[in-house]
Amino acid sequence: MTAVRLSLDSEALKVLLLTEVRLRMRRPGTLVAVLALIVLTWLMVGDPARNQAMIVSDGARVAYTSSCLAMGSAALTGLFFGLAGFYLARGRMGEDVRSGIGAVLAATPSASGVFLLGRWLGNVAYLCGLLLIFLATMLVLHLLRGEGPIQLTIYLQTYGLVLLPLVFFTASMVLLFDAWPPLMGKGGDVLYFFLWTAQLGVGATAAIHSTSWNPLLLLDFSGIGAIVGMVQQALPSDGLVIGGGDVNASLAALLLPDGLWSAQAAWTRVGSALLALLPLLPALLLFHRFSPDRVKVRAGRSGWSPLALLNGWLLPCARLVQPLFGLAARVPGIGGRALALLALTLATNPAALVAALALLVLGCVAGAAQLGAVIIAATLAWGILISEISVRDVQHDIDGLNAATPGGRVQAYAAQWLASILLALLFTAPVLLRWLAIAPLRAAALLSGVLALAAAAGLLGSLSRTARLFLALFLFGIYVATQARDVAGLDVVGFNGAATVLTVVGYLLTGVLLFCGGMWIESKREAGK
Amino acid sequence: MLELRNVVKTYGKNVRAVDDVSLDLSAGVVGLIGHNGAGKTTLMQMIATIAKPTSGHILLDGVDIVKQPDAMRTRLGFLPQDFGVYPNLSALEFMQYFAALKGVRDPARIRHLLELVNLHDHAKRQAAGFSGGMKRRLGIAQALLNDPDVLIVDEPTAGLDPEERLRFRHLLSEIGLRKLVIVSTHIVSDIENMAGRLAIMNQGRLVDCDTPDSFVQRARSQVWSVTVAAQDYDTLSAQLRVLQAQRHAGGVTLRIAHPSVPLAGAVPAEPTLEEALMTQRYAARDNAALAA
Repeated sequence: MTAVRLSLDSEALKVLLLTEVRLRMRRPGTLVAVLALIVLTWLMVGDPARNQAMIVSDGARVAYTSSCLAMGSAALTGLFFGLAGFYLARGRMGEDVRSGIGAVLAATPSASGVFLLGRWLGNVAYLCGLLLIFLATMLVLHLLRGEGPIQLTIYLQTYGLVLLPLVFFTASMVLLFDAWPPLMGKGGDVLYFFLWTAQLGVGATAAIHSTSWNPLLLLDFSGIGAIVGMVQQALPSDGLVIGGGDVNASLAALLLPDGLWSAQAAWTRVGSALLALLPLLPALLLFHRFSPDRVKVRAGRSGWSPLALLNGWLLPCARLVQPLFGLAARVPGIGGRALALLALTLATNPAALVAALALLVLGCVAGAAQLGAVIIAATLAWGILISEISVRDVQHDIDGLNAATPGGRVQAYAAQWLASILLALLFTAPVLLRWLAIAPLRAAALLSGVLALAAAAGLLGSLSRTARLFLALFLFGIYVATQARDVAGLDVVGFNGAATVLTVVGYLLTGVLLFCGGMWIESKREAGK
Repeated sequence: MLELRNVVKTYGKNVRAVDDVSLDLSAGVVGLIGHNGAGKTTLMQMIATIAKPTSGHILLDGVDIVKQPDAMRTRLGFLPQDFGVYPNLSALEFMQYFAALKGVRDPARIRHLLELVNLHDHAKRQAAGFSGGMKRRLGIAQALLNDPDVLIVDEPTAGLDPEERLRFRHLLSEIGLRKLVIVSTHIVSDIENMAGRLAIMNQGRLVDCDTPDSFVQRARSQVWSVTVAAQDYDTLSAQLRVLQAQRHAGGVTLRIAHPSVPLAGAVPAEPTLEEALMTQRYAARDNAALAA
């Protein structure tokens, strides 16, 4: 009987795994992610002919051997993959709840443990699939820019030891955040961002402040601490940069030796991989199994989360938005439509209304030096809100209704863009006005950045039909921008004061391009193509 | 086969979605009828083991399925009302997925069921692109994968065209010859020709359970037919329980629910099942009003 059960379970696991991979790999969002991954990989490996380097040690370039490229690319991928992978893989259970398939799944004899294991393996396989594409791109780049033979074992060993614990961690967190209703919604999305930031911080701290083995390295799921430690050990330096930096062309290229992985380092990674499985335990214990008592269709859409709870408490504040609906009805065309969308966004997120009022006050009273911080907070809240504007209709099955209104899909799409910009103005108006007076370039950066980000949110939402793709890239971008405050290209909305005329124009053009791309896609959809 | 003993389901402190329902069911088609919000879906979710009763027992062949849900799940086919399909998955892959979850290893079974619901020519097509009726047929195919002893279908004909509706009813009738089929609906015509028993729910309570013939029998001499002048219709409809009104050249022919002759010229009419159920509902309301 047990043998039969095991055989059935293994068969079920196989099909569950296959289905999960099929479902995810066939999503348009995955295609976008793969393209983004390929572009990122190309950007990672700067051209040595132009004196660019992936790893720079005390100003000296580290030669592009297999060891260098594997270590550098694994470190850089480790930085963002845990975040992007989470948002890409997440949401399957919400999809089950929304489609009604969840009820059927719950009524099958499949054990919750088997079902969850299947989902976890599906997450792992999907993320590993993405990493394989990444590896293939790296190998192509090695052929083009590498400075030694391709040593596949070094790549596999490095990626396996660095990225597998990260994949396990991400897949486990995806499962936990999908299995427990309070984490299923947007609140969970935001909470994970902070968890991810925390684990990055732990890894970096362990690497920087320890000369010997540090148990904190076990929590370094992204592997950044392990890599920095090993590279520092092989090439001791006062200034190590992974991901490109200023190269002193007069210094000879350094060689990162092969066989960097000591037994201790490898076992630490294995330990990390095992620790990454821990979230599976609460996931199993807290799994809702699609019980209508614990997870409703509404929750599958918006999520029962602390954020939803806060919005529930602040619901009376939504009355403040009522006049905006009236105004929207009086304004003709796309303007009225955009105002209606703005009103809808605020009425369904009263917490945003409170945040807007708070930002309004802060923007007026904060000192000039603090305005950048106000804009960081405003951008963060705004980005989270606009991530759902372009996908709200699809997720609530009213896409068709919108398409049937005057102006159709194309006007609806343009109105979404406009509503996002209006929302940004609501959050940032006092700072924008003050910057116009004292720092016009920052004001211009704020405007062009808002245009570009709103267009990106619309296009990515339209392509992927989920808010998470934009949210992942947006949160990652904000994180990187707040860490590298003097890089002009990263100062999208001017909060670092590093933006230049060139970046402002660049983001303005990018915004227009993305917006036109989105409009083109919507017009094709409207034409039924 | 299936016994419900004093099943109660409450939400919060005051909302009793299902209120002390007791019922014995054996093989055959059982129609669960009630208006929206009567508690049908909640009751079916509890029978399907996806929701737990607040109190009471549900027994399948003597086994308490609240305590041992797998006893039901291994023998259950379930098609919920809001059944969707995964995007980017073909009908065949969709069936393979549920076959794996139900422990069905025979690929021939999947082919057979796709043929049964007339989707075999579309097996390789993406299910998300199917019409509403095709999705529903795929839903019933997945529900039948494990050759269930208990089949639960919620609003099975929603979105189906007349031909598909007919085919669907026929299929459920055939299954009901050997298995227990519980069909929840508020469309009486869906089940009047296939259900052996009807369980009527109202405000969470099981108000009646009998054969369709019995309901019709009880309504005989309580349904009347009369033709009146068109200008009298508004007055009469305000005074009487009009079940149906059909206008024609000679006036308006009314069918009226009433315990005795409602007005001069009215003759007894053979009630339909729907009229019988409405008559019973009106009678219950009148009794409640009298008692109050």
